[in-house]
Amino acid sequence: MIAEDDDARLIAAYLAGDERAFAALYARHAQAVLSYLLGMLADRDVAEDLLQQVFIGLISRLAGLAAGTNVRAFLLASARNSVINRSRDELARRQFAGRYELFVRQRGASESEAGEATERRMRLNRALEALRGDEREVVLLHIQGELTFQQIAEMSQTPLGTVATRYRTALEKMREHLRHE
Amino acid sequence: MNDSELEDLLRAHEGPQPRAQTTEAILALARQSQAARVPAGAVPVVFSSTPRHNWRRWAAGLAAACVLAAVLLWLQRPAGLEPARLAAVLSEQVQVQRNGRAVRLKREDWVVAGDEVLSDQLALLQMNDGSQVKLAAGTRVVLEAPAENQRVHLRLAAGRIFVRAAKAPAEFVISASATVRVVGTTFGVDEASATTTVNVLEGRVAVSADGLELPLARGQSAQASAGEAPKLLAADVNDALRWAREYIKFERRALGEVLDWIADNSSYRFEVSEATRARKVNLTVLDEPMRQIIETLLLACSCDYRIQDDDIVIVREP
Repeated sequence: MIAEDDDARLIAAYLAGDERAFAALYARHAQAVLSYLLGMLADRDVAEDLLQQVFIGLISRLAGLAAGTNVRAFLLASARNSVINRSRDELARRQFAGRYELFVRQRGASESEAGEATERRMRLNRALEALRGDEREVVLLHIQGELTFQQIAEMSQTPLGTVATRYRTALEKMREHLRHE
Repeated sequence: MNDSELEDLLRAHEGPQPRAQTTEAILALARQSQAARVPAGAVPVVFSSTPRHNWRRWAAGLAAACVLAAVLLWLQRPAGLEPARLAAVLSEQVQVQRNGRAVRLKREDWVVAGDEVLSDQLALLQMNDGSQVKLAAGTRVVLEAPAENQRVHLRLAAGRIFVRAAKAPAEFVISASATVRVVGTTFGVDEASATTTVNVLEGRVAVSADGLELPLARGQSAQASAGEAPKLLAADVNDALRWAREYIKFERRALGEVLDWIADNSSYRFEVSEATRARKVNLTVLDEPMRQIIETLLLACSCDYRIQDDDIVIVREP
């Protein structure tokens, strides 16, 4: 579990001039945030871009963060908002002033990951992808993000019972999916 | 496998680490931010806002980053191709003829000026000016390089397209046997047997052929052949454009399945009982805003509901 006082010490050290403190803070949380973004977007390039935005947002707010702020929850809430905004604005935001790009996006593992991913991780990814969006989100936030159901309920403004039900349903679906793979 | 075992499995397989360039970019920004905040040797003080005299450093850094990004993007362009207007493919399995070669594209690939797009099923292109073009199955359309006063130029060789043109000063042009010019509207163009038929759903378009131009308004339809002036048609534009507007049908499907589809294709979330989720519904989803689709669906199910931002709570179930 994340120790909030450890984060508080790292923030204080960073604000006092220790640049290694931010690197340590980043190392504690970046992978979890990226896992959430990848799980929700299934696009590595976009997930990495949003990861940058999320941490840029943290850097700009560190000095004003209230004492005792849960940094992991703060980052995941920011990531969640980025995912929602991106989904809503994706079509409207494709404005390209005469520049030319040719690229191909692949759903799922990127080329560099495909060689590393184990068969089990790929089966788990497929089981996660088979979930509804809100079910997948609860699993990612609880398992990868290490957030409690209460924190998830507050972040998503969803009743606590609904969050718990979604989580249980998600696990049942994943078990069923894995059983049939 | 019980819940604990599955949770252990999930925890054991962490996702990938961020790429090195992402990490370096973030840490570099943290170092810059720190340098701007705390001069060497200063007493540690928590600042609630960036000191005013540092905005120049931030502005210079941002300008340099923008220049660098623009240079990197320019360097990444494929050799031999001119910068041109683009369209993103939003459907599966679209084929283009590019430089004499057939290329099969997937969702979110790009088409560029010079490509001839062939769709063997319904396809959707998102133009880089914000317009959307839907192609009926069997349609062939060429993305031409736009002229100076144009933002998009499509040449419709055969088939049917449905266009939602974003509002912009420059023209959106479709050339076929006749030429269609718009600045922002919703309409369809059919090309068959050297005859162009235009149906306007919203806004205004200008249809020109044989040196004559016919303006069309909402609800009007016209036809033109090469060498003949365009003429008005007595046609029902809604009926003529129904092929493009009928998007997906749910027939005798569980309401829960329909709500899941809506949730997966939008940011809306629903709170509804399992009993109501199991109800069977019929729904044809047209090319319209999701909010409208939801209201149509819930009214048809005799559900009273409350909407708060993107959360929809069914307050009275049938």
